[in-house]
Amino acid sequence: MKNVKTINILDADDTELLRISKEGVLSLNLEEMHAIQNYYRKKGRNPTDVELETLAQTWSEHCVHKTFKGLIEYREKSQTRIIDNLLKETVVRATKELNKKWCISVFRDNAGIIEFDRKNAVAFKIETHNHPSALEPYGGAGTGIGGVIRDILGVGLGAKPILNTDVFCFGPPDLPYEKLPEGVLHPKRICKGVVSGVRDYGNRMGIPTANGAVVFDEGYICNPLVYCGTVGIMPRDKCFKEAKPKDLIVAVGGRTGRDGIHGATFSSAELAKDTEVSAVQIGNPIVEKKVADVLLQARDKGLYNAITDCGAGGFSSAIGEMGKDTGARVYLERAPLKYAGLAPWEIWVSEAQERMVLAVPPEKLAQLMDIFRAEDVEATVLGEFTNDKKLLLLYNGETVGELEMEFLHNGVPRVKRKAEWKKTQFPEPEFEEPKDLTQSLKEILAHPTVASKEWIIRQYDHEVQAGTVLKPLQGVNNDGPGDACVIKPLFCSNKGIVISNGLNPRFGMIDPYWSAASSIDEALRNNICAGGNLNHCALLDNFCWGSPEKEEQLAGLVRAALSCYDTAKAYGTPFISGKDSLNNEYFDYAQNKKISIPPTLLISAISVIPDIRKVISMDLKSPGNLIYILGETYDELGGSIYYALRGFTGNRVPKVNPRRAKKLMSSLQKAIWRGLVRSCHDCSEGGIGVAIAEMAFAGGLGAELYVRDCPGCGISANRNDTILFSESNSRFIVEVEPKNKKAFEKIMGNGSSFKLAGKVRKDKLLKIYGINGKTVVNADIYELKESWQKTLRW
Amino acid sequence: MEYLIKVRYKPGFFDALGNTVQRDIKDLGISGVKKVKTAQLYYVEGEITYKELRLLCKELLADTITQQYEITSSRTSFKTSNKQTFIVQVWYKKGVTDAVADTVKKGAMDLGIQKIDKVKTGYEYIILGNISRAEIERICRGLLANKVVQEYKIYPEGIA
Repeated sequence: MKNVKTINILDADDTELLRISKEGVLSLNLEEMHAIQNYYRKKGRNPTDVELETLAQTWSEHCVHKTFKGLIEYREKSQTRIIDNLLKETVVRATKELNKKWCISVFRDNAGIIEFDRKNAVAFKIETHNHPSALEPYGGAGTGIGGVIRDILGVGLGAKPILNTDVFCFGPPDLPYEKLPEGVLHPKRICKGVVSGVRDYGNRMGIPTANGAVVFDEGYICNPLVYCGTVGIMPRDKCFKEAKPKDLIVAVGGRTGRDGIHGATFSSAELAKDTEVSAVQIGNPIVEKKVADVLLQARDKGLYNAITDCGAGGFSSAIGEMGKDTGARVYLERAPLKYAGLAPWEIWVSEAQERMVLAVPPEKLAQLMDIFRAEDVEATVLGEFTNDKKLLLLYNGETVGELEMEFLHNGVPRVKRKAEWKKTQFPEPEFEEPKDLTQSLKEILAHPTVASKEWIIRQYDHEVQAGTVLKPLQGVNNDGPGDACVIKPLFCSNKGIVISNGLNPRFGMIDPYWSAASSIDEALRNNICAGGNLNHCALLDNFCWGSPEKEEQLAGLVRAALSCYDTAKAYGTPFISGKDSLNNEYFDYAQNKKISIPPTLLISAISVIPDIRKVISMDLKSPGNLIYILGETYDELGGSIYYALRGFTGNRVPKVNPRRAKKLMSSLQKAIWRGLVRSCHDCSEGGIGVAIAEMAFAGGLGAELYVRDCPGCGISANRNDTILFSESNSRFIVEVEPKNKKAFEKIMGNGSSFKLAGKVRKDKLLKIYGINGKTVVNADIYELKESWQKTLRW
Repeated sequence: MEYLIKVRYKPGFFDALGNTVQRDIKDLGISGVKKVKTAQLYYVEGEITYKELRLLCKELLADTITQQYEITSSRTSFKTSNKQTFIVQVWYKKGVTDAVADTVKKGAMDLGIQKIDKVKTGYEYIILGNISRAEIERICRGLLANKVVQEYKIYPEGIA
């Protein structure tokens, strides 16, 4: 055979098997290599390079989630528990048990789909593009957003993208160059590159980027995290797909080149100074925009039975998955190439961007090709789906690969791992409570994670498509921090969708169980306080973790997943989709050790609301209005920004009581929908202090707050700084007109903790009175705003 | 025939990219840079007439209200004997997808210019100030070019 190499694994011993895997960047472990060896022993021949590459891509952690679906022996204190398929036992189980009838498609397709109205459904997907962004921030982030947009284009029979959301985790932007490990780009440079990459791709696709978050922490210096998400809308009768035997395999969109080869296997391995560099994809949003436009036309004319995008693994994953239950025959020489000279295996696993694959019934082909030609998008028939359950790959008449679909998809040996949870005890800080907390408040506001992200937000078009109701920057000068965004996707309907996020790696360093619960609580808080709907609300999970081969790290992952089950079940919010990115580690040759990121779980929430006219923003509206504090404040400064500024982590991480929180949030939702609330903001980083400051300077109005007698204050939280800066969950600051006092208190009344704590002032001062009734904060709101805006004014 | 087209902002118009790079250089810890001016570079190869090139520039590559263009037939045409000026050109490495170049080719065909064989795009940075060779190297590696997909050339070459 002249176009392929044959790899001798039949005669290979263990050392040789591992060498083959390492040199070929296959990321296959010994057990997997043995499974492959046995398969070929039975076949009586050696594999071709095309076949090995196919197996490597399809069996990669990134594509198949081996850790989440494997067996884990979890030990805590002296108790052991065997977890068989962590995903099924936690995240998926919550959804199954909640059994919400408005969930249409969960955990089976490129994205999760829920009902929107009688005719339409919305799909939501978030994924990460961490490893490529560490190497080439602009390209990595751009192709990250390009990839998730394609997931939406390829969910069901295709959805129309209507919103982008992005969450980033970077190292400290003011890191001194001497502290930067060798071979790592400076966090500020990564941040600027990532922001530009997402901007250029998202804006050019005509999709509004209206929601997101940025977190800065030392743990991300070597491994930045780039979460990109897209929401799409689609007709309800287009939510499912099925490739049928005899359907033609049609590749559409961009051409194939050498970019991004080994992206999937590379993303499953740790980074080091000299990591292979071709595994970076290059994006072209204009091509993707044309593909998006023409696909929706073809979909509505019923010209294809199935669609998926070419992401990790390229054609090998897309066609491999689509043909899973049927079989497929592919003629690799037919793939349109960017330039000559690609070997068959390169064509097959390239991750060149902007490509989708369709299953087209032969009688519809002519019509499909006409539409594509009219819109100047390339479409090429690569082969056909068969019914022999085999994957047959040909190149110029030669068979270059032949695999049974059963082995390809189910032959991967199940991973067995051990996990042991040992809670780290961090030193507990001891210092006197400062008399004047104004300075502490300013410092927290100036922390990069809290500070204004206006510099980033203003680069993203958040208005295109004309459906953005609640925007990322709110208030009198359109520069205050919004909690969630609201989109009205249909011109003829007032129904809307509310998107929010929750993320706190600092809590994760103490206990991933509580950080997962807190992230869910945060995503829901953000959603509700904008006017979201707890009864029609779905969640997405995105785990970014270090190495699953380290017992403590895996234990944290297990705890976070268990918390997802407990918390989501209690709130009644099912998970509909998720992803994981493991092995976010960097091998620092100078220190001779691996540095992992802090455990980072991003929870995103999407809810459907009946009337966007009920939505509210977070800025204070009128002097004289009443201010309430909802929810209980505890001594839970563990993982807080207040402690971080003093160099401490602490141990008392905020917990969640979902039963009480659900009651409170449901009541708040009712009050907001009845029009009784003028503004609402949740308490997160920096607690009550930051929340009221942000509401005040966003609204250009002063406020006075008396924290004495507020729920929890003086009991667990018995210091003023604890009260103001503790980051306890499930708390809100709410502004209510005096005339609505009775009605509001009646709705909140039934068993929820809340207190009338102050009012909006006519002047521009924020005054907070502590436990003894004395002033602890007395500040000009514009000085507070300046502290908040100055840090990231780049 | 090979041509190099440079498109830059007319004097008096705000060069946003140049400004951003100047600020970023300060963030690298390098002071002494007085100004940064940028130009977008288009390398064009084919059987094209000067008339066609001018059409390409006026209709596609430059916004003639705010920008000016320059067509030369040499790759490294610039005039500088000023010791306080460095010029850096950044191009994509061979084999890297150049999406803008593909679009230029398509746009040229739409304009009726048929015989373009190859287009490459790049950036030129004119950095004025009192900085050392080591510092300009840092600027290139740290800001202007990502060695993963791009390569850079500094002019004048070899002078400290």
